Amino acid sequence: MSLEVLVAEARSRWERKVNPDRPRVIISAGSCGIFAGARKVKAAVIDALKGLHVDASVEKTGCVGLCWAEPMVDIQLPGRPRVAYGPLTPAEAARLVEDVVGRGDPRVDKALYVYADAPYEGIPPREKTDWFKLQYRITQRNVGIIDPEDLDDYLASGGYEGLARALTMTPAEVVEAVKKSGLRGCGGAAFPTGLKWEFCLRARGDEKYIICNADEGNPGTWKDRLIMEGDPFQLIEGITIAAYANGASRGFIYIRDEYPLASSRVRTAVEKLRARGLLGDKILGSGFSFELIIRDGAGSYLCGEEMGLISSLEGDRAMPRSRPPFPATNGLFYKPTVVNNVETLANVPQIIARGWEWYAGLGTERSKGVRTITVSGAVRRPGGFELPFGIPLKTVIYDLAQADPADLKAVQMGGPASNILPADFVATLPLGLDELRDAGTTIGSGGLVMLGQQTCIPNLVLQLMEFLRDESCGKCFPCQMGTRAYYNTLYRICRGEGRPEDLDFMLDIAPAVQFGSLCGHGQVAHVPVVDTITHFRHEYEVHIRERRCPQGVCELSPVATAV
Amino acid sequence: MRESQPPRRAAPADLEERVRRLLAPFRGDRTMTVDALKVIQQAYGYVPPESLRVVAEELGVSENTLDGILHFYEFLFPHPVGEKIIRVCSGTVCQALGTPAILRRLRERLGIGWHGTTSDGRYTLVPLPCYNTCAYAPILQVDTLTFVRVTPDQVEAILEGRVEGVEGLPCGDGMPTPPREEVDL
Repeated sequence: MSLEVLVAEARSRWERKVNPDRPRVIISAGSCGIFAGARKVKAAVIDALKGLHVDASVEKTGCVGLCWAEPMVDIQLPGRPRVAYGPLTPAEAARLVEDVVGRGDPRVDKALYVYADAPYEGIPPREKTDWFKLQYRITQRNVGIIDPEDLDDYLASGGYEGLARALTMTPAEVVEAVKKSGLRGCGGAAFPTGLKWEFCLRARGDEKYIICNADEGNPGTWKDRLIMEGDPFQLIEGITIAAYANGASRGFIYIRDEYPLASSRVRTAVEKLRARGLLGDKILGSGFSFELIIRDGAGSYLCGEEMGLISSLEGDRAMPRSRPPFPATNGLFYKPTVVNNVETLANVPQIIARGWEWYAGLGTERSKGVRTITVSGAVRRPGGFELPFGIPLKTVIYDLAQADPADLKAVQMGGPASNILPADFVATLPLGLDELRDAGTTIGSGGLVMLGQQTCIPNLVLQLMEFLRDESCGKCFPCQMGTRAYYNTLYRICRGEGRPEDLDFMLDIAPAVQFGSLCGHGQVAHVPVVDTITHFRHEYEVHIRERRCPQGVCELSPVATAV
Repeated sequence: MRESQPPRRAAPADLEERVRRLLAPFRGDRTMTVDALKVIQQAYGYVPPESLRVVAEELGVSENTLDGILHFYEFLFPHPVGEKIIRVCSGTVCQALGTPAILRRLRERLGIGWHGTTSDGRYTLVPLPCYNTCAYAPILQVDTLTFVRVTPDQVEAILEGRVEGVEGLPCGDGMPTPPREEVDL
């Protein structure tokens, strides 16, 4: 079937869906929503509808990124716009359905926004709310709107236009377009995606592979989960375009085991795409065939490192290999391989469909495009926001996530082994790749963890080091021994048994750990230690000199407290 | 520094035959080692060391390699574990918002730390490598029941089943992805 026919059918189904002749109740059903109680809310909604004897459709969607407002429910009455409500307890949800569906009361008190261009009953349009007006949603454009398991919803939103257009271009032209768009990897290293593809395209090999890295292991980062749970089709379209551009006929998506819902939704999406001929043999009637294989992890942080991931896919321990040779020439099974992050690939369909000029026009001169930032920790409104580069981080922290300036102490940027900086300093920085690099930091994987005044910095770094030590694969000793030395030293400090020379020791070994390690895990393991000694030295000194923990988090040893 | 006192248990008599049957879909495919071990863990609750010889034969890898893989991945258990698995998130946000205090309570109550199993074999405590639902930190899981925004004072009540958890999203149990009706809404 041609894409035009598929899209025409999908559009007419979507039109009927959004102009319903019976009420629609849409439950926000991402992992966040389910943890917040979406299952009970759904049961309460269904009971309330039964009690009203109303014929309504109960649908689901992904998480729109307002984690604080979960569980969320959207309600649309025939002839009216769709309104989002939250947060709701099951009892509140039942009452809401009775009021809105039963009596036509729009319940402005619980409403967040309306899917319309103009206010409805005083409820602001979605794009005018504080949470959305600064956003520019590309990878998240359908998340929270469409049913993540309904391919027609995605096709109706302009899905697969990108692939259709890519198939009319040569692979080299697709690579060139991605290169010119300025898209850079969203997993942490921010390597130019087009350049990576070019290396692989040029590499000689009878077989090439594309791997989607969906092992989003960095605590505080859940942008990839939002995409996989909310709009897996756009990701798979991106993988397919990448495969075409790189000449790969087989691809893998490696999903971490902690993401069962994401894994389930991606699997469903793959089945549906196969059934419609958008994945598999001779896609869209072209000569291009592509098979996507889904593999689940088993709880290893190192699988997020590209070489570690490749080793894991080969059926071994997730141990990185030394580079060069790079995966672009010697990757999976030593064949040319492209490894890209979920968000990176999810950007590709729109770049191809709308043209690289459009994407290159977003963001700043030096950092093109958009990036999803997830904010959590000591904030009132944790959530995920897809923002164009150039926005001040101050806006993200204080306006979008509503951190309390009096309570905020420090910010960790993107991952356990990344910078821990004073909040006042972070608030002066803009969101950007090179801009942050100039300031000596990085946005990493896009997860900002806010640390409040009650956080004991040495103890937090101790916990980070325990994690990094346990997850060190042990292949190269600077990482293995370095993380261990850090952990042991911090352990003593947090027990109140620190020595005055401990801080200098930890600073001294940092270069050895950084330059001696084989992969990114060890190369940055020293960062939280060095940063916190630089910026929060007094907290360490209180532990070492006065043998006390001002925050009362550390368990000081009896010997230490007696001193 | 990991504490672990695995209770001794004899290998089941029909182990070899059963493992061979379980491994039929993976025969000769050495890229599927992790999935093969997961399937065995699903059947036995852990990966019995005696099974490694059979896996090695079926998949065509060395027993040594398998032993390395078994001890590498967090979700694969090389020893028998307690009836219930308690997982506490070890991610940054949970750490900052209360994991240390929760662990202290668990240690006071059950006498175990990371990777420890209670002497009565009821509970095993392992870290959860972060669900990335950090808006609901700290997160604690007892088998498939998830508890969010846990305070240290709730720990006792959670263990006694007096706190309502969220069913579903069974993850990190070292099992292959469950059928979708079990996880989805």
